[in-house]
Amino acid sequence: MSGAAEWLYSAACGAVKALLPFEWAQKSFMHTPFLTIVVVALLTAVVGTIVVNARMAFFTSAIGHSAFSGVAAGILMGITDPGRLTLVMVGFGCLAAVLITWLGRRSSVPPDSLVGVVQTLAVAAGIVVITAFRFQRTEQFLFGDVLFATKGELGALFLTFLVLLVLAAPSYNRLLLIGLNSDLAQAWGVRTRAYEYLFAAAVAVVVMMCVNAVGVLLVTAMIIIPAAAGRNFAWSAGSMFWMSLLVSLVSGVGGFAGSWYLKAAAGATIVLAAGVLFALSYVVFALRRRTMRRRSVQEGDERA
Amino acid sequence: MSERAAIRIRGLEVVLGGRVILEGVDLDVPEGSITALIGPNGAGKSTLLKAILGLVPYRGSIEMRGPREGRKPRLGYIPQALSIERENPIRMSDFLLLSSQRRPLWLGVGRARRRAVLEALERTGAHRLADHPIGKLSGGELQRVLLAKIVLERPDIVLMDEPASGIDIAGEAMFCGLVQELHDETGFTLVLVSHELSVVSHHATYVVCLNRRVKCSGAALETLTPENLRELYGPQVGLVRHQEEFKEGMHCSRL
Repeated sequence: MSGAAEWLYSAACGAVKALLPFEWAQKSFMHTPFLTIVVVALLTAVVGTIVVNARMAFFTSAIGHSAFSGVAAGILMGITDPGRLTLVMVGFGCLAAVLITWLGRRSSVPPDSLVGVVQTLAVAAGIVVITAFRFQRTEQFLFGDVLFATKGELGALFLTFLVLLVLAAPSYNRLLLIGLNSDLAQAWGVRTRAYEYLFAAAVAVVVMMCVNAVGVLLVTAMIIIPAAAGRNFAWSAGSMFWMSLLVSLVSGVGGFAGSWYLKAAAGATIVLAAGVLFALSYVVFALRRRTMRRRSVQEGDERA
Repeated sequence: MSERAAIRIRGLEVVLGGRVILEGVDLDVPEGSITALIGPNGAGKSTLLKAILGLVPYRGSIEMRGPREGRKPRLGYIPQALSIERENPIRMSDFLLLSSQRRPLWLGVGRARRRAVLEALERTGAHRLADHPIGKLSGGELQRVLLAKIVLERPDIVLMDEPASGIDIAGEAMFCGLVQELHDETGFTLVLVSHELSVVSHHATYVVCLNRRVKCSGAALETLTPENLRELYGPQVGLVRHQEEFKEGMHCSRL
């Protein structure tokens, strides 16, 4: 790690110790996993808002599952180093994302069926190679293990977050519009094709970078659940982003702390925490809808 | 109205799902005109608009030019019906900025932009709905919002596909009046698909009869002849003029 990165890491660890007066937060071996979860929560929230708005949840799941084929490709290429294997997975995920998007624009097959075909084929091909070569780390790719996260992995995730934020911020409004109505977006001068391909690749990068920490099965949940909950809490395009970020961070921190006390897997506990917030968001959403309906009836009565 | 063509189409062919929708379409849409596309159901009117917008694959050439030489014209579009997910929380005022504001909406909207959006909504009679979620709006309300987008962006070419189809009679009159007003103010080129021949005869300056190919085109009064209409729609169709409404000049009358 460079001097600046080391300084940033020390400052972050100091902040964790000072701001979180819990037993686990004072232990230095917990700092890297905790900060990794925080960065994963930020990363997944940034793409999650657009994924949920554009109904790309199934697509995200397919990209997650293509990690199996990514691992298989790495094995066939003779790569065992985790860092280089992650790079192969990122490349493979981007390829799968671009392929699904390309086929989706051309094929007459319904998009969800197409995603299903690519997902199952990617998993099957991966499992054939992984089992044939007796690969030992399959479970880690399925469920992840954030407690073994290294400073290097944390640094790579943080760098990915910064790059994603710089690229996604100016594209946020247009991606929302494409998710709302792609034809209208193109008519209004948005280059929908370029945005669709770039965003698909961005989702693939985020998913593959997070697989080591939370696993294939849970990364999809981390992208979708906080964003879906955030949308239920939201009242505008801007608040949709902030509420998703808040739910993601609260479930990340809360789930991580909960896993310490329950002595359970961190990734799964985080997703359960997000699930609780999602249930709460539904109650808020239902109450708001009832208020709006009542107001609408009142307005109708006044007009009559 | 100038003699330049805002849209120049040559040899256009659109095939969708193995079916020929348009073939051999050659067309010049005069700059600054209100050009109406008329024709029976399935004639390819909406497909022609979609081809102009690049929403469907086509063969042939479509060239567009705006008032500023060397710059691509800005387009406005009002589709027949806009499908928006019902539970989407995006507010109407945010929706109008999605394509034009670079700053992400989670960093807020500048005062000047917010004011411009509210003024555009006020002009289309939709200002009360500014903070309503876009998913909750009715078809007619959505059409007003799309019209507000045109007020806001001042495009060079506007394409409308039966824009008044989801609006009640009072709203339709207001809508057509406002479109005419905006056209007179800014001089944009308007291409309008309409089944309402009285709307066409009232507002259009140029008419294109379409049925897979261009059957006739020219100045409205010269093109909307009983012979052309019978050839396009069949022997039962004629044009009934509503003289009083014509005189008022701001209403879309119905056949």
